[in-house]
Amino acid sequence: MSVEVHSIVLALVGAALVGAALVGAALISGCKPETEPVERGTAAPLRTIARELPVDDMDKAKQALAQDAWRREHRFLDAVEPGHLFASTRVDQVEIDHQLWSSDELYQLGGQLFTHQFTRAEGFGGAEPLGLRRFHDGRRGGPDAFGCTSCHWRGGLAGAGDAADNAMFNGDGVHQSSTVARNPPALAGAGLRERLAQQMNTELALARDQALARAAAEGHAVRVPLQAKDVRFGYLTARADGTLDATEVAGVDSDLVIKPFGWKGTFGSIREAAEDALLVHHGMQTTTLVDEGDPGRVGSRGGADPDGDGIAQEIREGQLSALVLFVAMQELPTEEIPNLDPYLATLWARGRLDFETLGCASCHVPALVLDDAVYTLEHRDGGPDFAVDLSIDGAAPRLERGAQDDGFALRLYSDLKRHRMGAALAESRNELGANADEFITPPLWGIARSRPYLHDGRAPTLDDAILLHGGEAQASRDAFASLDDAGRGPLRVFLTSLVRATRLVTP
Amino acid sequence: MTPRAALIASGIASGVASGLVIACDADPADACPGWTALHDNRCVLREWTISGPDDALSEPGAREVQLAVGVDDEALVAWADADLEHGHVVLAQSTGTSLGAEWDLMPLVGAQGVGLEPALALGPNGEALVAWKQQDTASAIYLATRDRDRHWRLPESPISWGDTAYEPRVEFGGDGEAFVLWNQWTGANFGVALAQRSVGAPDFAVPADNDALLSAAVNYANAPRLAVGTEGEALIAWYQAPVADLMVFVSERRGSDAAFGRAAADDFISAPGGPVDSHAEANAWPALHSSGAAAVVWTQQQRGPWEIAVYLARRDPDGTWHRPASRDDTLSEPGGFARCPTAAFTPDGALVVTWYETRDGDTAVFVQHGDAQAVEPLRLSANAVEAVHPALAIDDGGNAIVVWAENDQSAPDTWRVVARRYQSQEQRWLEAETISTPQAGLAPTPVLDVSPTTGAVMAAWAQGGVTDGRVHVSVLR
Repeated sequence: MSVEVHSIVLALVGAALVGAALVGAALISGCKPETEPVERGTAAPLRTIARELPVDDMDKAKQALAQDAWRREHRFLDAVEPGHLFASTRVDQVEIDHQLWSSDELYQLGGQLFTHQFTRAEGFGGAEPLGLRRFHDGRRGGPDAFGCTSCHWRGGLAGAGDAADNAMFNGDGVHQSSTVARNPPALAGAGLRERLAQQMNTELALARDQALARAAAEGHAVRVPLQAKDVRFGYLTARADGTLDATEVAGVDSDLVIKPFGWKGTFGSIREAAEDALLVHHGMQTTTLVDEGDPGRVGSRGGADPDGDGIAQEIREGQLSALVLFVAMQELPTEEIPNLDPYLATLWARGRLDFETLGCASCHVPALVLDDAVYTLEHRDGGPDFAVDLSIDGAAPRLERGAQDDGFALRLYSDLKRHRMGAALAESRNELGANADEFITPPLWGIARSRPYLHDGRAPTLDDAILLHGGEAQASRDAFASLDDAGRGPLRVFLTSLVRATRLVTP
Repeated sequence: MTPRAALIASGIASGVASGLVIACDADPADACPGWTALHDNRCVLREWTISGPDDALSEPGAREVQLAVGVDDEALVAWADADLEHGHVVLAQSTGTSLGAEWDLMPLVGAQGVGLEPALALGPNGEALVAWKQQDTASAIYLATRDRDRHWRLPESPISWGDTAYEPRVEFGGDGEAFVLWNQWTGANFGVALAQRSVGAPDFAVPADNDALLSAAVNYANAPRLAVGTEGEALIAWYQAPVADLMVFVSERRGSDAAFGRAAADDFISAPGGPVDSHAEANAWPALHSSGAAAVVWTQQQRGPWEIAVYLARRDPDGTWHRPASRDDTLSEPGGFARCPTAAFTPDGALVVTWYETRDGDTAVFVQHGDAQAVEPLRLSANAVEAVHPALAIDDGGNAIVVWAENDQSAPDTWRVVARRYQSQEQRWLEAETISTPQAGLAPTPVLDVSPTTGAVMAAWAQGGVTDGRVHVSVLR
């Protein structure tokens, strides 16, 4: 097998060398190089997951029952032929590149992988005997779970996790005290979140480039404010020699790249986070990570099976792409105003204003404008990117463009900025450029379906979470603390309205 | 023909809009109804300037806007910058001859931390006060002062003490006596602290110790607010939990020679049985009249946590307080959820109270003008709009203005600022006027002030989102 692969690589390299010379001629003559036709492999949508959300409750029930029936059917098939379920997710990137799969089908394939429980035969874990490692061993991680849904379940598919689902990252593999605890976040709206961060990053990069150009042209240092979507990130000084002074940059790394994922804002993309999660939680290594071969992450045995479990190509690039698209296409969280109950409607109206007057909205910015909702998964090997318009092809409910065609108001209740949260929430160490007490503002959309709260799930209620705020949020926290129990009610009601759409599922 | 007759004759009595000309055959300017000005022998309705998106006074990220209009049509506007790490209070001083046309901006950079909760006042002789909370790991009250020569003195240290102090208020008396009020942590309680500066004195006298606070040393006092009369009389109101429920308390001074009283723990003016609303927007609001009459309005649970009504306590000129007989003795209609009560007296002693309340999901601004026994609350805002955060001002002719923020159901996140004027001579409210350009974002909290001598009126607010909200002002020309 390895010889065959080697031969193909050589053939491709040769073709590329020759092709470089022949492309012009091929275009002129209209000829296409002859290639093997690409066909679908073992991957197959199993109809166990759907993007659409029926409006009618009866239709929702029928959808849930139909999905459950398909799920049972394929479990039987998996019992007959172990590996059937995993094989149904084994899409190759080349199949995606050749547009053999629609975005809807890739959503299903990714969802199947998200809901899959990995086995040793598929590459779960490493060379060690089967066993979970609750406290991660550095960047190798656990494994600590058999599938994504082990921890992302609360509030629906790709939801949050309980405190018991906390991941204990970056430890010594033995002691809890050596780890940092992270509560699994809900993934709804993840693609929109990444797209928003990309657009903000473009603004920050433009500000940096303009400052550098000015500094070079004027021959002296130029200090400029950094803003993206009107969120302020301190100041950047560009020097005439082309260097930068980022000591006044705030809330983002000195590279000016907002990393919207992870409690501390350390993952720049869904792919980055998903690839890491597959590795550290399940010991499922992507081909890319294997190729990179960092022994601290994938193991020290080298080759195609660096973790030594006897399985190569544990997660193909195409599988990762499908998984990323599934997460990116997750539904838009919704706001359910309790209109039917006059009392609750009144309290909600008060609470919406309280969210502003108490200062919560200062960081949990209710809405930022998203210019477009096109999520693009860039190809990592020079092939075609895969783009999906989340306002059209994302899972329902979807984002809707404003009436004046001036972009989308993305109501995520976050500024995607890191803030200092005070000593009470500070951890024992800094992490990837973020200070010990520094956390990215977590979006509050869907928060009513994602308890417990805060980065380590220490807050069982919204009240607890608010009262544990400090640092930059101290004044807002104090304003909330000064309210009596009844006075806090409206804010609680408002936050309770930030939910996900109701989907019916079978146990 | 009286001005009212002229209005009726012109057929626009129910539809007066800004800019319409009112025929008036009475020559003297003081014969014109309130909010009009004599022009070419006619009473012309004064017009609001409309603040558009490009007319902002501040950079993006402004909030907690405060405003004071002085005797000579000078105005100060202060706001807090939204940057939670490096933000500070910004002070804008109007310059030039036309109110609100030109501004000088001055950042009030204090110690470590962030400047919040600005409060400001203009004195009768050009003095000014700006107080704010400086929030770091602790919070303290800082005070900047301006003397009669308009020289600012910025603080080097806080006027408060200890770990925590917040909610500053500042006022001037008619003779220039200055007051700074705040909520002070004592180590065991929060208490009402008052610093005073006599006319001609260089510095403020701050409370000597915790025993000099105006509230009883029981639990937490909150949200003190101050009203000062022209003759040195003053009234401070706050809420505090003497035993269990939060109740409203007052400390009063009947003249400049008198001392402020200290409220006993059982000497509250609210009706027992249920707590007053603890939200900052529900803070007890005191009002004074030159006769010696006084009033305090607040909101309090009537039948439970979700039914919150406006309540009123009144003081006769002889000093006798009339508290609500019970929690059924409400000023607003029972059954709603009221907030933001604000009160002021007209020169002839009529009390005007405004608030907003939500009932069955419908949120509207109301006003009670005059004797609550005889007059029903009037809904000022239109049907089918959400109207919140009213502010009230009354000129020396007894003419009132209320401004508030509102949106309609078609665009619930798009807010505008709306004003209505009351003509005392005509005894009627004019039609609502929109004084800002609708803009998406948070609900503005407009503030309003009227010059005590010239009748110049200014409204100010922050409009836009959290990050892009800017300060706007509108002037009633």
